[in-house]
Amino acid sequence: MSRNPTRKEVAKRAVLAELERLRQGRHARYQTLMGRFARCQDLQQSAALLVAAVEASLRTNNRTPLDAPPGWLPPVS
Amino acid sequence: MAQGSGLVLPRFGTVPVVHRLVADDRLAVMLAKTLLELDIAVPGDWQRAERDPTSFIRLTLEQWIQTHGGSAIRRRFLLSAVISNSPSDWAERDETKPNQLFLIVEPSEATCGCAIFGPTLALLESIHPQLPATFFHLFVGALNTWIRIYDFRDAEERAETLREWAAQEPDGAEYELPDVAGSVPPCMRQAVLENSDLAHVNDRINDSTAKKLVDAEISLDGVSRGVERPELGDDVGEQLSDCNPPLPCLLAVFADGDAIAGCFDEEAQGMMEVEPEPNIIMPFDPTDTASIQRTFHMFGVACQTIAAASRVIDLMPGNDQWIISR
Repeated sequence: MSRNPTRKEVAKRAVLAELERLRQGRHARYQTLMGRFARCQDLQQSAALLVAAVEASLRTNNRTPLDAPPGWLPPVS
Repeated sequence: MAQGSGLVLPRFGTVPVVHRLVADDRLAVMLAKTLLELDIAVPGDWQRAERDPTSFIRLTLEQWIQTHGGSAIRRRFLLSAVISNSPSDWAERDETKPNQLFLIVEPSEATCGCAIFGPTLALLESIHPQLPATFFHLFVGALNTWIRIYDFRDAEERAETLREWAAQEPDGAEYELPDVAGSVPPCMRQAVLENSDLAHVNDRINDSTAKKLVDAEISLDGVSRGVERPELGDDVGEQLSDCNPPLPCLLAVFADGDAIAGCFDEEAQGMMEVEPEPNIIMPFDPTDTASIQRTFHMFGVACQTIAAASRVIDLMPGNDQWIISR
């Protein structure tokens, strides 16, 4: 003999299903760019490498003035 | 953005105004799921928690405390309970145990409750000479299982330290030291009654207040024995090695402003100099259902013990002014 689940049981199953999606990383909250970034170590390491590269590049090239675009005044010093 | 004939302002109506990002809520998700499976958490709290596992766990903890005597606890104690991945604010997380969490209880705002025993002991002494000491030691023993009580023994220890310091000073004899022994009623020197003798004495009590007090005390003792509090492992002990002793949650004195209260006030000045150890630390594994069930059961017993102690203090004459929350 089967019985219909109560409202509480239905609610419990729904919350458990949502928590399971969260556990597996399939929840909508993780599908945003920031959500994926927060959970992906490869992305975080790539970003850290890029930041380090930009900083290194700044240190290397900080004495090389860029040419002024045509029609602009050249740098004063 | 659509072009119009006049000035157009961007609309943010559909843009979420709150963003919450949790870098790693894996343990919180697992704990929330198991709490719900065990019926410790209730599904209705998921919406109240705005579908956030950490808030859901916090609400579950609040609800668990409430169903285990929360209102009675709040009358006499100011405590906070949290679940953390470290046993204290200062302790570093044990990276060898990535799945370890701690249920922690400590006094909030460094506030201590107070209970005055003098009038109660006088009432009980009129019934049986050993009843006062039995009552006091049963009460303090039951509570000390879970939280720290500052009583005459702590004060005696403090007074002894002060005596030793004074003895090293050239004018040591001029120091006025607290007379803790003089604050302890003589009836406290009596031996404690055995359980069977206490039950026998209790059966013969005619005074209604004394009867209620002893009944509540026996109930408190029974509740506190509901579960055995396990010892913390060496690994946790090591994490807490730089901490001060736990802050007392209750000051047990015999009279308002006696030498015990004086020692406590003086000693309290230094209790926060170093981070104190929490009163209750229950390590558990959120990936292990049995571990969660055991921990919440134990926490429930701790709450029921503190609530039972609060009800005993409610019955003790002369304690109306120490109610923290009505």
